[in-house]
Amino acid sequence: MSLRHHGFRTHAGPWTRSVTRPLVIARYNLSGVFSSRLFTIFYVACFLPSCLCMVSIYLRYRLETFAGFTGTAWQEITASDILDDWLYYGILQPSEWVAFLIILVVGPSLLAPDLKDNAMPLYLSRPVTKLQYFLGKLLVLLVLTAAVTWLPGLLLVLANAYYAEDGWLLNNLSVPLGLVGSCLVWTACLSIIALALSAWVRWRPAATLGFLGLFVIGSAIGNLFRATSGDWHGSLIILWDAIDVVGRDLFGAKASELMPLPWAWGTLAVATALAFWALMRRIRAFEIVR
Amino acid sequence: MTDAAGSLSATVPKPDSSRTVPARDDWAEFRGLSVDLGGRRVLNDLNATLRGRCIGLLGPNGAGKTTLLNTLLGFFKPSAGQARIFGRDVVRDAAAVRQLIGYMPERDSFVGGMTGVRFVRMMGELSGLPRDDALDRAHEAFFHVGLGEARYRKVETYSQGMKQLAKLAQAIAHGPRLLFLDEPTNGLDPPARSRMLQLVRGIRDTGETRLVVSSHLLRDVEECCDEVLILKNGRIASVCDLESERRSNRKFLFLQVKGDQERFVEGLAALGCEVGMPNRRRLRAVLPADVEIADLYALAAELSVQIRQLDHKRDSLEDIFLRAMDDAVDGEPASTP
Repeated sequence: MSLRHHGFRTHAGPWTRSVTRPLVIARYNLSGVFSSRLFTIFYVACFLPSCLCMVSIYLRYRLETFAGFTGTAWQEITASDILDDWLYYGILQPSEWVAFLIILVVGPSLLAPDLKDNAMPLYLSRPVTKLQYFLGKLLVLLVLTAAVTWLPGLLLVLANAYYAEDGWLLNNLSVPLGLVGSCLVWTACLSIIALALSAWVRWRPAATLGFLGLFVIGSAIGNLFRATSGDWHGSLIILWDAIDVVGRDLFGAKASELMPLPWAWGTLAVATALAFWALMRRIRAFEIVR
Repeated sequence: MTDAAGSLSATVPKPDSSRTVPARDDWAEFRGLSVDLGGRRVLNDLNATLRGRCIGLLGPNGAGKTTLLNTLLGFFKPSAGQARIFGRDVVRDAAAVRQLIGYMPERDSFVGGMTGVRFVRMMGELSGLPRDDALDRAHEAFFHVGLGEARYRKVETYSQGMKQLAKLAQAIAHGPRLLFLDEPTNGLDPPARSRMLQLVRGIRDTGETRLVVSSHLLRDVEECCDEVLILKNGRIASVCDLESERRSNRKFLFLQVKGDQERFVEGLAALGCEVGMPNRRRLRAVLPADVEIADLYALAAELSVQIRQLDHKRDSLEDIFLRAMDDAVDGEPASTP
């Protein structure tokens, strides 16, 4: 590094392209997130479900072989018609939980400090648009969740394909595609909700509690409504139910009866759109006092 | 800044001529610029052309100074008219305009949890600097503003004065062509204020960057600006070229002489000066362009008259400001460039 120049001078060199600005925001935020040792330990722990699933895939095929030799009840467990459901519970559902936990921990800390410290004028006075700022923050969550959900999930699917009969992957292409699709839909929806809460509450602990409360209270009310009315409408406010229905459909697993598929998509879309609208109202350089 | 400016001229490579701003070009232009916020007209039909190296943006609280800066930064959309900076429309070419601008906001603004140099580096990268350049320039900017030793401390641990300097560092890190400083001396003690003004003058004197200093402290503006734009109730109350004002003041003299006053007055008139006598003891003279003060001393020596007192007219910025405020009551700008 040169410290030859201690004075002011204009920049005569090249400039980076505008599309790289979200990457700059994401890079600095990711590095900030991993500066916490506690988070790093937590993040490493998030790989545990994938490791357990890997072990279970290995054992499953070993036990299938073992069951073939002995002709005992192991065969019932490994019936091929529930193969995809088994993978659904082994890969996709843990991924949804892991994504939820990561977004719960990281999401509220992404926007609140910028708003609290009045950093928005600094970002937006540069060639950075509101959308680019938002994309930068969203990328942080998408990268963090991708690395512990669908990326290792794809490896697990490949491992399963290795052990399963020839042509399994080609016959079950919906499994990897559904895994990536479901994870992206779920993490994008959760991330935008978490960012919106972070922007509106502006205080990290309160935003975290709010995010948790949204799901706990939403589920409680939805389940209560469902129990009393006896129909599925209560699921409209339970995002877990919506992603369960959508995930199963994309994954090609046994369909869920929690709610009709179009309504599940609608629930996720409305929740995401509302959160996005609320979020974009908060990303601004200055408050206008009416 | 003399030292810093001195070393600067010795070490800084020749700037790219395509980015260097000529001395007195028009660089900002407002045509019927109006801005409504919260259903209220905050800026009303602004028409002006700015040429100075350092523009002081003056006005009482609520006059629209910060709103004007925010509009030029693209934070607020004009409800009528347009503003152009370096020939580019601030709405249509917002990204290109912002790349040319460095902005130091009035309120405390930083990204928490980062060291000073990391914060400035990130801001440099967001302005479009490549990663390595941003790192180099972040260090340079910190040394330039005098925070070199504190650059690895977290920004939130800085004192008020250090935060102001860090804000200046992030504004200049990418070497902007135009620098907006909103109340740069806010909350600074006298030495820190003096240091800040020194830095502002240093940047101005490089000639590579135009500055707009928004302040309600007339002395700050007077110390570093060569042009002022005075706002009142969202309108331009006055646009004044302080340099030419100072030049014209230098030609306006008050004299007290001992000796043959009448012959001295005749001599002055013969030199082409306009002479008035507000009272018996005092002369008032306006020198023509080709007459210097030395000529007056020569005349006095020739006529054996002693010049006991010689004073320039001192039309301070405060006078200009107060006159603009009075004139704006009538709804007319006090003067135009």
